[in-house]
Amino acid sequence: MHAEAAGVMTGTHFLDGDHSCCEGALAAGARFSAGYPITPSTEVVERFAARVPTVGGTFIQMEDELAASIAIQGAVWGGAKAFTVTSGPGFSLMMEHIGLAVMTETPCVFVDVQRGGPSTGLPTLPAQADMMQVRWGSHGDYEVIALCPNSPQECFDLTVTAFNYAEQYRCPVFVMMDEVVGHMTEKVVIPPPEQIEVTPRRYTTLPPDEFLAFHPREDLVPDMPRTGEGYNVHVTGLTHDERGYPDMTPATQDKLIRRLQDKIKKNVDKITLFEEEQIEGAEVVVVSYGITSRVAQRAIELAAKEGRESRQVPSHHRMALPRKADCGNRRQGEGNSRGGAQPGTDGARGRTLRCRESNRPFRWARRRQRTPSGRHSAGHHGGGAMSELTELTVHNPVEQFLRMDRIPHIWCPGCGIGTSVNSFAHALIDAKIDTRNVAIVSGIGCTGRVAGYVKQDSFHTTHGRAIPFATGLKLANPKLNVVVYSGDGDLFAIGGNHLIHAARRNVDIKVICINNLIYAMTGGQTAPTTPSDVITSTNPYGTYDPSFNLPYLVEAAGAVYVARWTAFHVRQLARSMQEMFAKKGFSFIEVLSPCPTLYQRRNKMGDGLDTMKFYKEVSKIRNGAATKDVALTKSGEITVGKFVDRERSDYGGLMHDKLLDSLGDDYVETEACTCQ
Amino acid sequence: MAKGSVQIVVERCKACGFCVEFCPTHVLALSSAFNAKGYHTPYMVHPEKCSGCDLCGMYCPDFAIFGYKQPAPPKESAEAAAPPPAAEAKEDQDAR
Ligand SMILES: Cc1ncc(C[n+]2csc(CCOP(=O)(O)OP(=O)(O)O)c2C)c(N)n1
Ligand code: SF4
Ligand code: SF4
Ligand code: SF4
Repeated sequence: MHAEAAGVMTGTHFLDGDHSCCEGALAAGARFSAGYPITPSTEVVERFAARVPTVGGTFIQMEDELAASIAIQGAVWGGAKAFTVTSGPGFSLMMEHIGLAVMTETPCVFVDVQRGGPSTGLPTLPAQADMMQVRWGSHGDYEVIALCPNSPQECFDLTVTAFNYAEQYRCPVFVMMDEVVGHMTEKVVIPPPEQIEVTPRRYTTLPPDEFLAFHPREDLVPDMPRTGEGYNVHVTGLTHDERGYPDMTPATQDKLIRRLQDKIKKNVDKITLFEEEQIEGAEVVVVSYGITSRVAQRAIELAAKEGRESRQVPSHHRMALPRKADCGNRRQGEGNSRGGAQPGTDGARGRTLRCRESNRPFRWARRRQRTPSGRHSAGHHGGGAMSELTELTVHNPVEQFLRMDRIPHIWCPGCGIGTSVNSFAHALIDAKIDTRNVAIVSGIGCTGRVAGYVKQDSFHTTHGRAIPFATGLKLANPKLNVVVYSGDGDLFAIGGNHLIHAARRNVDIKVICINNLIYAMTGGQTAPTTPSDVITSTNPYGTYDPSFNLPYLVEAAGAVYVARWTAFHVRQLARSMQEMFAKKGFSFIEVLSPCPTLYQRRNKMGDGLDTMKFYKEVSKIRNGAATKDVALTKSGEITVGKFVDRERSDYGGLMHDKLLDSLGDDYVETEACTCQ
Repeated sequence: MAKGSVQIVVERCKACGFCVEFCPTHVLALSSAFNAKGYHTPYMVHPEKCSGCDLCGMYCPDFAIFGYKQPAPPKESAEAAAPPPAAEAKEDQDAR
């Protein structure tokens, strides 16, 4: 397929590498970028921010690189081609999301305009110090593709190639520039669109009921679903089977990780780009990439002048990582014939294979077999045995929104998370919206597992980053109704920065925060919501950290809708969620929820039912209460109700109005997923 | 005749007691029998009082119970009133 004419600035230009890279991205079809400024990379997105509103796309300045590197992935699942740009310190922050993109097979591009390090290092000077990091920086075993341009022209060409590889192999692809290439200005020829080959995203043609989200084609790469079209796909960074469902078995881990590696390793010959010059019969072969290849070229010429012409010396301009498939545990320096000189890629595989079923806090719940005759009408069991079923004539209305093939779930007896999901399902029914457009994004934690049980397009992201993922998803595909469903630790500790910024921007996402006053999934450590004077695993003598008042914080940050309920208030909660669907802008509901296992047990607070009764007893409904007055204590009154319901233009609206005002007819609005 | 009834998927139940506690008309009680996981699951101790309001379903964190308005033909309720077949006790023993 050829490039879309709108994005291509055909002609001969005098451009620096950063600007040329931006033009490459636009030509390749990139219509979304999220960034955080850092020298010497920022010019790429500065140009993109100026250019993309005229071709129908979005640039958003995020609060940090963690956010930028996951917002682009949300945008990809929303249907856009997307990239982010950074340099060393920012690249270090992005490492976790390289892993996420690998694991979820999210086609996206990272541009790293390298500078010297470690740490802040040499902000305005060149280095190629991140080449090992791109290969090894994120945890676990993975393969990625990296391209190294040596000129502004190659910044254009290889950025187009990077987007094409990303779509072809469904993996993150890296454009590893450096300060010199980024800031050097040279002639750049941008061909007409019909001469620019662009790889379209491969969407499935199967109907939802026949589609397995991670079932690969023959080339080991699965087709993608379109979000919001009823595929109800589940995307998770956890090890998953072909349905996309988490599965921690050794067999699944082995199969998945091998495939993720093989889809690239088996194509290394196709992926690797290099040029050979005068290599025939050479005595000394110089292997180089990136800007160094130009220095090497000069050295070769000088050597030739000094009468050493008899040595024929080539120069390799580009390097593709990884190298060939057979590189067991090669020592540093033992490059293969294609010129990479990297340590072995596969030494860690033994670790992968030894992975056992672990980290499953609630093993008993998942292991149980469901008896086929488990469903019955309950009118007649006075304490005897129970099991035979009466043919079911009615169905639980919430089941249509649940992945029933994943029930029973992992949550403990008396945990309130499942109860909140009932309210959510009822809200979906009562809101009378097109539920195909409702996408759920979760972070990590017990609550984070909601995404895996709700039968919607659902994304189980990384810890704390659900909100920036949701931001990308919403901005790339405004027709989606994006719900973030996550825990208090996820949203307010590790993700706190993202939350306040999304509220400030008034991004149109609905946030449901299950507040169990603790980090539950990791074993009951003190969270920013834990009240004073309770015992946690990290405050064994009692807590003394002051805690957040969530509604107050979120209101101050700019949310247009703020409510708090408890798991006891099932109907009010459902109504509030329904209201939230009708609201445009950043909306927030805090749901206090029992955690008998990791909060209550240490504090001798009984079981889930005891907490539910406590909620019933001490909750006072005060709609419109001033949020500064609703802070929680260990055993005091709980103020519930709708506290804030106000109007403020949402981020999409603000962006639209400003760009239309400034650009007039040149402004092209992002409609919905337009990615080819 | 009761206005409503409930359906229970016993194997999903984890005996939290939410449904029993918060049923507005106190229809339910936890049985002395166990399901395969070893939990005492609810049954209708006062089926005639059930309104089918589904509050039990709203509370159940395990999607194991829900209430519904009694369907029009009374046949259903006749079935529901029948005593449990003796064979069930055996099956339950096995399940444990
Ligand atoms: C980057 C990162 N740091 C730490 C963790 C470990 N971790 C997993 S869940 C969790 C806490 C979740 O707490 P919360 O969001 O309150 O959810 P809950 O389990 O209580 O529902 C932590 C710290 C992680 N997965 N990723
Ligand atoms: S540990 Fe707490 S929050 Fe997690 S499932 Fe169990 S009860 Fe729920
Ligand atoms: S449907 Fe309503 S009345 Fe019937 S058992 Fe459930 S909560 Fe009670
Ligand atoms: S609410 Fe659900 S899990 Fe709890 S006792 Fe009732 S049926 Fe069982």
